[in-house]
Order: sequence, then structure tokens, then C-alpha cells
Amino acid sequence: MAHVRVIGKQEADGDLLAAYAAMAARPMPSVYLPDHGDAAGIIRAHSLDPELLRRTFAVSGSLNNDDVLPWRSRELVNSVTARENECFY
Amino acid sequence: MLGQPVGELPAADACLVDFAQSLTARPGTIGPTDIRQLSAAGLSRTSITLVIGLVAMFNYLTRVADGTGIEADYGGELPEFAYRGVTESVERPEPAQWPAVDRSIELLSVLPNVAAAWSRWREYVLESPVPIPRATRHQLQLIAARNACDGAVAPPGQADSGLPASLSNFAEKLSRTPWLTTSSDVDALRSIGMDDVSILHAIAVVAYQSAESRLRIGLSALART
Repeated sequence: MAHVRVIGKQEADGDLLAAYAAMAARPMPSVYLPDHGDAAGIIRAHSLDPELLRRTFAVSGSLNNDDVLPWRSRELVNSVTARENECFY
Repeated sequence: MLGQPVGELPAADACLVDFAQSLTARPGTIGPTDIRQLSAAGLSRTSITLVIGLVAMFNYLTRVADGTGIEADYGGELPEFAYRGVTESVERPEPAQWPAVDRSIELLSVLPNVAAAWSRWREYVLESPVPIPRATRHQLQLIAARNACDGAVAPPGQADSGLPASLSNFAEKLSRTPWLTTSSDVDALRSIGMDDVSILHAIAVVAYQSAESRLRIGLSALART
């Protein structure tokens, strides 16, 4: 159970529901899609503030959509950074 | 590639691994030498800028994951994550040894979409007047910047002021050893009257500054090559 309240798709309405819909519409490799069908945990972690969610993932989306570095290299950098911070994400 | 020993990786990949590890765990040691190694591995300045941005962003995302306590839910194709039982972070150098850091993040402009999005993100996280005051955001920012050896935001010798001990301790832990953050740390924030939206914003400020300090340390090193 998360340390702070998180709101999943089923409970979401209004601004949050729209933010989730916008996130779901982004092109996404299948490996990033959780099996539970809800938004990924790191997205739901921002669910108490849809504007924070939008602005945060606009940055991560722009970083990962840029074609100046191959996807596998970006994934390597992301994974190593998470590993160094002892984080599963 | 996951699980492969670094020594067996192609040279360019090994350079990326080394840089991501250094900027994350040893930001106080980053300098032009690290950038030259990436250049020697064939990365352009634009690619290096992107690498710095990715490392910075994941220093945000991992802290939000740890601060909010979300559970792993990625797909089954990836190997299961195994904690290594690390209980301390790498020791930071004395402030006199911190890298030269420029206040600006102007070099990010070689990636215009990233720069524009980053600017909007920064404004919201650091300047929103609610649900936590700007003064509180600034104090949290200083703690995260100091733990990242960022002397431009946290000048050496600047005293802490005003934060309740539980919030200050939370920010220190989330900055330095985020993986050790527990529900008890978050409950301590509730005990001083913070609601969950305020706690999320406190997490976001600390995580954001941990990212921005690494971004500027990396970009400052790039500017000096």
C-alpha cells in the first residue's frame, strides 16, 4: 500500500480522468504497460495533483521521444540510474 | 543487456553506465573529464545533453516512487528487481571541492521540446503558492541541492531555517538515501498537520531539486569542454 493516497482510473473523474486519458494516448512500448490495466504506479503517484502529473510527464515524454539517442541507450541510462538509487522503477 | 557485467558491455554502453552511476551517486565529482569520456565514446553534445537530462529525470522519478511508496507494477518481461541492502549513500566531498555549477540550464535549449517542458515543470514545482508555501519549497530545495553538491542553489555555509524537524529529516533522507524512506517518515509529516496533497508536493520539490541539481552539474561540466 502506498504511503500517500493514490487515485486509480476507476475512481478518477474530471481533470484527473482527462490527464489519465492523455497519458494513455501516448505511444508506449508494451514493456511499460502494467498488467493491471490501470495507469502505471509512477503516474498514479501524482494523481492527487493532475497538473503536476501533466507537467512532470511532459518532461519525461519529451526526453524519451527525442531521437538523438537510440531507445536501448536511453533505457540503459534510465535503468542504471534507478539501480543506483536502489529503486525498482 | 540487463544483468550483464559492465566489463562485458560495448565501450559506449559502459561509458553511459559509468556516467549515469557517477551523476546519480557521486554528483560532487562530475567534471569535464566525465563529459570527454562520453565524447570519446562517440556521443555528440546533443546526445550528451539528453543523457544528462535522462539521469536527472530518473533521479526525480525514483524519489517520487520511494517517497509515495508505490509498488512495482511493470510488465513481466523484465527481471525482478533485487534490493542490495545498501544503507548509506556515497560520502559527499567538502563544499570547497564541489563542482563549478552554473545557475542556468540554458544548454538544455539544444533540445527545444525538453527545455520548454522542463521550464513549465520547474515553475509549477518551485513556484506554486499552494498547497505548501514558497518559503517551505525553498527550504526543501536547499536541502536537496546541498545533498547533490550544488553550490549554486545551496551556497556553502547557508544555514537551514524554519522547517519542522520531521519535514527537514524527511527531505534529507529523500535527497540522500531515498530508498530508505518508509511509511513512518510520511506519517511523521501527517503528525505535523500535512495532508496528502501537501506531502506529495514536498516529495515533488525534493525530487525535482535532486534532478535539477544533477542537470545543472552535468550541463556545467559540458559547458566547460
